[in-house]
Amino acid sequence: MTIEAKGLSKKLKNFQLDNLSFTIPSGYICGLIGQNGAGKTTLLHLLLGLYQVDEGELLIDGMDYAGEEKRIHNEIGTVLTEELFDPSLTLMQNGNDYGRYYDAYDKKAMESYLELFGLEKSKKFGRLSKGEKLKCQFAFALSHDAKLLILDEPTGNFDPEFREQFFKILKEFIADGSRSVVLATHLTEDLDRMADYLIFLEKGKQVFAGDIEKFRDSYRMISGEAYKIRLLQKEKIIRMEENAYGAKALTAHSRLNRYDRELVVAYPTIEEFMYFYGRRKEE
Amino acid sequence: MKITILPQGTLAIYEQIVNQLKNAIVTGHLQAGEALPSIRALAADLSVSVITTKRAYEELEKEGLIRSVAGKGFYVCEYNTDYLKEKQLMMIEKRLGELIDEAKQAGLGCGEFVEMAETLWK
Amino acid sequence: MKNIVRDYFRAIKISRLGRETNGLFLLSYFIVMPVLIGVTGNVNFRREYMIAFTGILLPMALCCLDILLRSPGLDKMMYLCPMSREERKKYIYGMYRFGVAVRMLVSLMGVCIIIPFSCCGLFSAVQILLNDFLIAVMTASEGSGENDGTNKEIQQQILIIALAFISNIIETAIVADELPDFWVKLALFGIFVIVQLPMSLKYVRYQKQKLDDAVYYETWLRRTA
Repeated sequence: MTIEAKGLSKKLKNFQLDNLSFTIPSGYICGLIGQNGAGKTTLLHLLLGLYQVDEGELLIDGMDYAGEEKRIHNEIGTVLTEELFDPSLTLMQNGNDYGRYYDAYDKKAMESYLELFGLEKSKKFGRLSKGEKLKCQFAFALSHDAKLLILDEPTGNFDPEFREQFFKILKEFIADGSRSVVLATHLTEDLDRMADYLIFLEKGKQVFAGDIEKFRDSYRMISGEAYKIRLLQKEKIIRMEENAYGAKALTAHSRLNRYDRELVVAYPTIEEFMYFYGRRKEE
Repeated sequence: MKITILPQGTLAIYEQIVNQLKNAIVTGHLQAGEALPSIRALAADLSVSVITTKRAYEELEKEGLIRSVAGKGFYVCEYNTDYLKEKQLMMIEKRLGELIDEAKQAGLGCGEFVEMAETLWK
Repeated sequence: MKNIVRDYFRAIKISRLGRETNGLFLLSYFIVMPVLIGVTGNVNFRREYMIAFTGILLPMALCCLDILLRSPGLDKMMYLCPMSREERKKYIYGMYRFGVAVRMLVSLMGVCIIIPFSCCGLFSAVQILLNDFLIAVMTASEGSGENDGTNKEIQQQILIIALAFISNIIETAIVADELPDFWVKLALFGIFVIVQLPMSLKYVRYQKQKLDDAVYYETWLRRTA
């Protein structure tokens, strides 16, 4: 399930998503990161066909929403932060009710996922805890043979045990190479481990979009003495911070760079990158 | 065969995989012609990105240590052990040369250097 | 068919009562006015008056309540379910028309209750149903009220409902008091044709725009934000 965006733009009342271009091939997990208000939710709404594209192109498996809304929606499973199910119905009723619109909805799959996640299928949706509601929606998303999972910050409400199970399921989901996952999250340690692609948004603009190895090739986290760091090329230093014990800097990297042997050159974690990059304009 | 991944700090994950697989091949843990786990299976087992294991395999393929068979996966190449050992020795020699330069700069004499090496060897 | 019935009744959201204060205020009229009339007029809660009330004004109140408790727009999940634009439009319009049918059925049942009265001729029955129809085709206004359009819509709705209400109250009096006043009935019909109908036709055009907006999540969100 490939996702292709070219010059994608969307204007809302107080916000603008500007000129996004990226390609996510089939079979990978793509992390969508950025601060609150950066445009993650807007991009997700565009991917889900809830918003219409203003400018540019968005193709999902070669199809666009203007022409093939039904076919695309058939292939997408979603978990959003808001509750999508009817609180007055039971979990299975919700599943069956909405499932009837999907070609490949499988009642038995829904039942077994609910059981796997420890949920009572005859309980009313409204009586579940927040985490359980998300698990239920996740169960449904997995029960209609979706080729693309779009998940908006699901893991914050999961207990650590379920988070392991959650990631195991995602890995199995993409195992045959024909399905993809887009996961918007603040918990970037998970992405450090297993994201294949990253899209990093800031104030509606695209900071980075590409595979994780390209990301790792592009930046370095340098630690050591402040004066030694300052000796590096100025344009390469994105942001440096000093404390009593030394200095740390986020730098742009290319293969020809050489660093002073006394400096510790490491790969930034996504969190470090976001922190330093976000403060690049500060004094 | 065991591969241990240290959380990435100064050594890239894909490099760690490449090095450990290389060692396994050179020491004979992985035999010539043996099948390697698929890119996705390895990624799932090591809890790393698929892109990372893909890159590791591509590196190994570039160095001629493994080859991909369309539709089947990756296999260890028929190789010349001596040639590989020689390559390893060349790397060690190069790094030894760098260390010797540093030792000279620090004012170490040859004897002291050898003594240090012997102590650390044990 | 079973699906439509089930979806229709599931679409009632009691939680909307908390938000729709305008509507609740309007509804209270249906209770307060008749009581006032009962007390002040020389009707004195006679049996005929009570029956007329049940047959004419109660269905009106129920219809307004039904309209208040539902929205022509869909739940977010429905916008994610696989449906072509045409299918979704059919669904929304289908639910709407079903709603009109249900409300008219309730009105019809109410009229049947008062038919035994000799003075409730065909004319009164039709007039009552016509008034009820103007209300049955409405949908609740959305939005926070900051939206200019919403306020205008609410004003229009209130006017339409008020006129229909007054017209039906007079009909109630006619039926209960056995006032076979030809001229009053004619006047009511005249007002219906000259005032109420044009107002409603203008509103219906606005209504259609609303239903069309409900077909897409984005347009519906803009309306209800």
